[in-house]
Amino acid sequence: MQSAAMVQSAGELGNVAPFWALYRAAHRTNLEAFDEMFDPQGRPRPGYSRVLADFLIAHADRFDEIRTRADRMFLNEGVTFNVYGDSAGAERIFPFDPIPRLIDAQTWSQLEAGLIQRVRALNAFLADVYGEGTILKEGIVPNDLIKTSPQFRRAAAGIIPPHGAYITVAGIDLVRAADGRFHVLEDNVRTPSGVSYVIKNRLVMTRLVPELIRATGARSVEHYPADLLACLCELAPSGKSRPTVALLTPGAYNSAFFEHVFLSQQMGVELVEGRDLVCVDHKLYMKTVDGLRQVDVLYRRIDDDFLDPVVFRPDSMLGVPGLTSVLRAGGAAIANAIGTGVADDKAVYAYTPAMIRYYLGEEPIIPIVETCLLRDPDARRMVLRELDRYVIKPTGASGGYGVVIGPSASDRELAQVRERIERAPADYIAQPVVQISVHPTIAGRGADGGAQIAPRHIDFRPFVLLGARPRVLPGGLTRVALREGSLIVNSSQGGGSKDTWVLSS
Amino acid sequence: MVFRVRHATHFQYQAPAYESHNEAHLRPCDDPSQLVLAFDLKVAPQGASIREFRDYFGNRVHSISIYPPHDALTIVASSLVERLPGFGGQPASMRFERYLTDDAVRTRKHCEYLTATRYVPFSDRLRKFFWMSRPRKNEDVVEYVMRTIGFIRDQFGYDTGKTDVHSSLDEILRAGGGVCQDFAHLTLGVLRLAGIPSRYVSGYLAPDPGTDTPGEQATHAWVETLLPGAGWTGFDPTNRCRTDIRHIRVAIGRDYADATPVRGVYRSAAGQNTMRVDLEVCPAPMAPSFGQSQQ
Repeated sequence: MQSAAMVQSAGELGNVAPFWALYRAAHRTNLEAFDEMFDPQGRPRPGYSRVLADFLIAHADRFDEIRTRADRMFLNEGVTFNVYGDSAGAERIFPFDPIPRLIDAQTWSQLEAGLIQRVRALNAFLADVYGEGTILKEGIVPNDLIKTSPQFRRAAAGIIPPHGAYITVAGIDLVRAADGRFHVLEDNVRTPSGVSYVIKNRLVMTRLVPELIRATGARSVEHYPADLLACLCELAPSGKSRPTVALLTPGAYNSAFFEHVFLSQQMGVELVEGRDLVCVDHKLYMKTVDGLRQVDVLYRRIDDDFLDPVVFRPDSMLGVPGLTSVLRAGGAAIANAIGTGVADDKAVYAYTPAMIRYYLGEEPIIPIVETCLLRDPDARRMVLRELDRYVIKPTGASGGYGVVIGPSASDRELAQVRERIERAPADYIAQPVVQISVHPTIAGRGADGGAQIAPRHIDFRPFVLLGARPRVLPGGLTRVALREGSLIVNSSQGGGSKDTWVLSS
Repeated sequence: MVFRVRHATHFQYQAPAYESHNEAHLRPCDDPSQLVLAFDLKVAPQGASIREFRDYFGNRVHSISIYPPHDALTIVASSLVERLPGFGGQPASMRFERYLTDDAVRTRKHCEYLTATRYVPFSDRLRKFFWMSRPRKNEDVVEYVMRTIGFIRDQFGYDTGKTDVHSSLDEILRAGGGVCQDFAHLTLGVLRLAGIPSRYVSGYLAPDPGTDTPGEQATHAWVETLLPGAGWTGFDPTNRCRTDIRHIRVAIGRDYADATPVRGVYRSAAGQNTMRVDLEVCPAPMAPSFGQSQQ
């Protein structure tokens, strides 16, 4: 496939060259990283020529104004998030970079197939480990890895979700390596968040550059709440033609509370907290001004630990006492099911290609990053010898917490992580540093006072809805590490986001 | 031998309780060593919603929910259990050094019963205690289990006042005494550190007609260990013995948390409640449903 820029006129390319030279000069680090917009010769990749000519070059002097307008729109829309460990409950807007990230149609169709394949395999794995456990008996995934995982929920045994749907919503984190291939970095099949930003980012971009979106042919993302609602309704106990769905939030202090409000409004379902729900006669009800109203499907955004004090943490006030026994009796359904966390454990991740082969008889379409489980003594010796060459991740945490990136860590940080690994090796994995791709991003002011555009690392979280007809939202959350050279893109670690345009052709 | 069991749990609330949700491990197990001839669960107040399910460990659990306000909750489990002798093989005689050659395989397969759990954390105190009675290379595995039980009971007396149901291993080790649940947890901790898969059993011990005087009875707890040639084998640390025909199994798990007789949450204006357990275990002359027609 030849770059789209090849067919363009020399005149347009003439405009690109100075832009590229300036941008290239800002490429102080990570010269080997894959650049999403330019090929190594400075030609725009498929789809990007128009973004470059009509937006980046045409509006070069207006980026400050564009960014200010975007920020104001986010504030007006109330798009905020909370950072744990930050001063009391401070709401922030998620920093937004208006330069869109594009994925061409051919790349997307591969990704789409790979993502569906992956989530189907993870779902089959969950049905297996909470049922017969054949993959464990056959030793394809180590029995002890699963049975000692804190995410393995014994209470989930015997609760068979409708249609076997353990996973309804998945957010799969992808990165593009130096060779341009997408790799899975981690799976999120508990309560993945971020989809509200996908929709809001698009809304803002539609106001900023409506013609550009139309002309580029970006696929729409606004139907996601309707698709999610359809998948949730499928889970309702049989015979219900118009099931009642509710969204369970831990409350306003949760970092994703904005998203809970947004999705419940978009789907037209009640937003409830644990104290609004009650279990009676092994059925689930919500308290309304007109009395109790039965709930058929609960889209829960609360972790298992806090879901039901009868079975999980007894001190939790966030959940619904008795919910587990309601689910077991078939009185209601929840998405995602209890216990899905055992499939997105960072150590279990290493076995996901084997799961795809085992359950689907297919080769994985999207590769994973090579992963060493430090519970294995040989791997541990190898990694500890050259600790500064690896990324060390705690298996239990998510959101980028506790991740140590060897090459950029201080000696003290390395000594600390070494000690932690030696104390509890099973709690850590090591991966080689992936030179994740970069994308032109507004990076501050240049010498002339105008906005400087420089490469910044990005990742990508697409959202998969499994349901009776699996579907991937044609878009996703592109997160960008706003600090130069930083590889951590999580919003909780100061990352920002970009709108992602999946091209229709 | 057939036993009749009546296990009543009674909660009295200072202020009315409502939205009460409970899980009860009260139905004895059906297994090769015992047969449940009859089981009945009665709950007051009336109108409680009751569902039976099989949990991860194969226990038959009852989920009991009561929505409206109530001043008291009574759960009465009545069982007729036939305890069969002679099941379960005799553990093979095996020296520890040979037993440990399969350690890696065993760890993989039975990891759940070899790792620390909520009530059996591998604390420094426990490790020290284990080290004092650690197995010898040429010691027979069964003898080691019996020696461990004896050692624990030599060090710790039966004392109902020193611990409660939520006591951890460290508290028992500090307190110097405890009850059957504590001895079971301590035995689990030591045997797991020694590499012997061990699990918790909650159940009843029928009185010995020869020696026991009829009186107050309490629920019992002991351990089962996985031994070569015999499978899961019961040991009763409280009574320093292998389990016998008087031990009636109700639930198994990694520790007390998996096999709690009655556990639940409820809402109430005031937190205070009192709980009373009345237990009667006695030999039944015959299974009535079969016996009566023969009279």
